[in-house]
Amino acid sequence: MNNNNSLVMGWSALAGIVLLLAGAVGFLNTSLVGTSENALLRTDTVHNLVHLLTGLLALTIAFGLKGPQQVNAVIGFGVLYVIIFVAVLASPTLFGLFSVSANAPLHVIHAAVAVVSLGVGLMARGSSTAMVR
Amino acid sequence: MSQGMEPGAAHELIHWIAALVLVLGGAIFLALAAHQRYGAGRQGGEVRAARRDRPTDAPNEAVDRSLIQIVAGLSLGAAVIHLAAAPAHYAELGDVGAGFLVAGVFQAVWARAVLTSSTRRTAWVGIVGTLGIVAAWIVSRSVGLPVGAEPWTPEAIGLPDGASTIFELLIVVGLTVRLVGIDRAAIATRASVRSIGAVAVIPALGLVLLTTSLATVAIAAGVEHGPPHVTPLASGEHVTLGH
Repeated sequence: MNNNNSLVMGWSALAGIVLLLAGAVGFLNTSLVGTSENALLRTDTVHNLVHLLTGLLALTIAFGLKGPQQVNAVIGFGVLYVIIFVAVLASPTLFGLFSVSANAPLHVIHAAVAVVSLGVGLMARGSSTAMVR
Repeated sequence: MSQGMEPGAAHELIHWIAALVLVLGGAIFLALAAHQRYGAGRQGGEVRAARRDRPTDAPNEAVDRSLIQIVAGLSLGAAVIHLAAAPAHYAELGDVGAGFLVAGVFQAVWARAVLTSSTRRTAWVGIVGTLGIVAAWIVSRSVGLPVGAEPWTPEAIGLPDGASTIFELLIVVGLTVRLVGIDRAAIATRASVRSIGAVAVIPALGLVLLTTSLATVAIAAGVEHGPPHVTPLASGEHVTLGH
């Protein structure tokens, strides 16, 4: 495995763990994440579910795929988060599905996951093939 | 928390610190990736070779399989929605409600079949079966079913049935494209199609996964027969899912 593939795996693992934790902790409804008015990241059941599922998806990409498949998958994950970012930005309650409007840090999380996944994936494109050659 | 600061301002500050940390972390990953790709250790020719042979120029068979994986995912998503809705519909409609169970099992079995044996026959079975399910949905939403609490009364379109019908229509479109051979011709001749095909599986299946989950939550919340019930909260900006 070359370094760029390690970065793809590392980023996918990090994003997966962060999203998974955000989703799981959200169900605990703590002062950090949850439905509380004062929570750092205000979420709800549906939003927690989105974070849990996409976190699992990112971990699957990190540990279930290898080589070009993994690189293409992380680019695809970035595309998925671009869609999520745009949809939640257009409608902070996702057309009534979220009980709590997404706040600015959540938008930043969505954007960061999208941008970094796309960036790391696109820059890793070809590296693995070149190393094999 | 902070003694000399308004709680709201302190929270706003924490929000932005968290956002800043995330952006900086992502920037570090991007910088490392850029360094690995364009850094001093890489020679120009190697980079050009990397660009020429990048993974999205994957073997055609792998890209060719993307469409089947997406179609199978759509079918599985529709199956989960139908199976989740089956118990309530069986209780409401009696034997006719068992159609949900039949539809769900058919879609799940067909998804497995198309992944293991992607033949023209499998595709035709998928098209005919899926169109049958769509036809039943159109009847229930236009003239209504002859059974239930209010016979021949059209049901409202909700998130779960709307989502599963969209999945089913996409299945039919995907299978038609495959049967006509449009995708294979495009994969063989256009690099851009190969690139899109190589990365399309994750966002497509991710959206199916998320939509199916939201639809299942809507069914569990009892709002499958109509749009989510929107209730403004005290702040005036929040809504809730469910009755």
